[in-house]
Amino acid sequence: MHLTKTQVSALKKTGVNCSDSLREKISYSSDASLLKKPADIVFWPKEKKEVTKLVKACYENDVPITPRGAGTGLAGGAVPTGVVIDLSRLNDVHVLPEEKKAIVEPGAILFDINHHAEQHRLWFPVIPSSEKVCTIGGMISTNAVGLRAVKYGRTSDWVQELTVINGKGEIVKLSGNKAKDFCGTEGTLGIIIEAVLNLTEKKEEESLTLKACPSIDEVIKTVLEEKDKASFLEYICPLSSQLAGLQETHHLMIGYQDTSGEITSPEKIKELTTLRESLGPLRASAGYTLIEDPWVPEEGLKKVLNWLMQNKIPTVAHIGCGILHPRFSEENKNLVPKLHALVMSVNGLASGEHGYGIKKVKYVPDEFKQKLKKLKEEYDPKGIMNPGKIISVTRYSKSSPLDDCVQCGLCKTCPVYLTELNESIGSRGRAILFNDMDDLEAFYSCTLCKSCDQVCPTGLKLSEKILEKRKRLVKQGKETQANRKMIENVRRYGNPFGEPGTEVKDWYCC
Amino acid sequence: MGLLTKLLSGKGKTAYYPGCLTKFALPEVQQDYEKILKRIGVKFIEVPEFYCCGSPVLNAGYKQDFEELRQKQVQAMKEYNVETVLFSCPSCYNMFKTYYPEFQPKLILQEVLNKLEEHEKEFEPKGKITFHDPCHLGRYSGEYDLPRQLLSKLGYEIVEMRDSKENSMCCGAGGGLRSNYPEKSKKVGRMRIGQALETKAETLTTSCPMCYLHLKESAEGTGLKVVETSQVILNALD
Repeated sequence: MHLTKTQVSALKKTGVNCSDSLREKISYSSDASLLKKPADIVFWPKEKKEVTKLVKACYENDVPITPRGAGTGLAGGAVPTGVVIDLSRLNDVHVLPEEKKAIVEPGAILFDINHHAEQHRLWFPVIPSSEKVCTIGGMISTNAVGLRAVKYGRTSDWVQELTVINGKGEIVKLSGNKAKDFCGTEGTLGIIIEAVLNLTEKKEEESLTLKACPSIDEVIKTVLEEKDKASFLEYICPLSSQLAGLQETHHLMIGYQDTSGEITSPEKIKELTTLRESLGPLRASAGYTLIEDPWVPEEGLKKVLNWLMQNKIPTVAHIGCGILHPRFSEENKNLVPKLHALVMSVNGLASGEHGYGIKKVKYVPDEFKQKLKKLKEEYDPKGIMNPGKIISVTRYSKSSPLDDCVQCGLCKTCPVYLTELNESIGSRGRAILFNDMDDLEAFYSCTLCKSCDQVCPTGLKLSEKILEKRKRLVKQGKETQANRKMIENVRRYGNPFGEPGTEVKDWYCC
Repeated sequence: MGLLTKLLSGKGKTAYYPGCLTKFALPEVQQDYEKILKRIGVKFIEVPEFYCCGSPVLNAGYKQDFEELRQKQVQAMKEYNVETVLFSCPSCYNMFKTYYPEFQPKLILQEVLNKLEEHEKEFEPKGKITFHDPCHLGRYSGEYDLPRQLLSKLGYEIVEMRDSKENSMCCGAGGGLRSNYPEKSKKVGRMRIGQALETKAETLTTSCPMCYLHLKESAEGTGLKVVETSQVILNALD
């Protein structure tokens, strides 16, 4: 939709920092779902009361809102409809060690929350693989699950209280079941402005067992035996095992917070958990780029795992809690609906942890849909909160990412992103803008530090791409003022500063 | 001077290349590295015709200019019979390693460590220190252990920042950020200093002129001491 002039001016009158330039519209158009739609306006509130002001203005002017954390969701929950409220600058963390609690704002990054908590030997134990970049607001909205779900459950199990702005712009405090019900609603009811989280003593694995299982029956038997003792319980199918350099059979990787596992050397434990983490990228680079996340109850596991194996779909699973991660390739993606039909037939769910967003709208269970619709009448009567997600469908186009980029957002450890907190002036934004825009600020506000290259799961060398882009910009005569001065000195004196003895004012270097 | 150096260079063949920023903005650091080289008995020359290694030129996207600059550099060094080039600046080191196959690049830090390992001298224990990995030394050149081994050999206890080694946080000055967008650059610098303060170390050291200048400025008023690694080495050797 396009906003009218009256709507735009009403929203801008709130005074909240915003941009409706093409650069922001594009860099905020997508998330890790690879679906896209340009944002109408992007807002960056820094204070809670700014969020209230904004939502009120949207309510009064019938403007749809898409709340956004790190934009690392895989189901498309953060793909814009209307205006985007980027909550990443609302990121205070306050740990109360005596009460084992943390009071956090929605934009706080999980890693930062745990960094603070660890000073008191505490942690928020639900830790997904995007921990270094994902925000707690996003985790609550998708009710995220982590590696240790078998022991610690999911985000909702650790949320004590939520303060949210509902779709009418009112502040609502939620606790108990009301807070739990808000988890996993993907921004369709309101915007979280504060959460009280429960923390627990930090405990890492002291031992680990890697067990090869000749059959799925053996896998399930072991899962049932170990489930209550393990802190993580991961399944690796024969095909994935082979990709990881293990024997081509079923494997279970079982972590223990005591010494009951077979392997106790910290180095070996690290090596094996790293191997487990590498299975996503490994399968992606072998062509299996499309990840699914069904939840399957214990009694259905055998049937679903067998089907996946017969169809040669490489699968890993947080099997202790029934969440499977099969990966499909472009050639066999026609099997995805068949998988979901099978999952439904054993009373499973199409999404166990990534949420329904846009991608899985057609698989949302009726019961959840009805419950959400009812909650929406109460929280968001005008339906302005993240429309087009979970319970309704809107059309989106497919993102055409740069080379191997999957827009996962793990590269948002970019130092310039972390200080600016604006997608368009950071690593992933640059990747999204790469083919569409020649924006000098986006491409010259990079320190070429390679932190993005370091973490990229698909091995994309974004820093080299940025250099390529800069060469192209120079060729087209697009130069920054500082660079022009630098290059004039180089041409004249052979160095960027001028004659020897010149006082150095601008630090052109590296 | 020129003639004398040329005559001596027949035997020398090893040059110290300080790099632009050290030469222009940090002459005291250049002197310190020269002192260190003398202390460890490394003979070197300095090629009087000084050209930039080309890092800012290439990183800003001026490919053609870089090629011309490279030619001039190679010619100047060849004239002095240079085979090995010693570096204190990791960015220049990385440029030579990648784009100047004519020469053998060496890090002065490595030379110092080699020397220290030859002798069994024990250094008295000193306080806590934190090391900031320059991107061009770490992620570009893979040298994470070198500075740490050196510092601990000299008696320091290294305390790591939240983000270090492979996952280190850039100081915020490189890639042209400092010259193009100084305000953004300073914000990154302050965030990095925040990480250093968390370690409770009194001193941060780094071995890159750009990181050093930028972090020193970013640490103003925080009480954190920022020193170039050359100073740490000299203090310990004295």
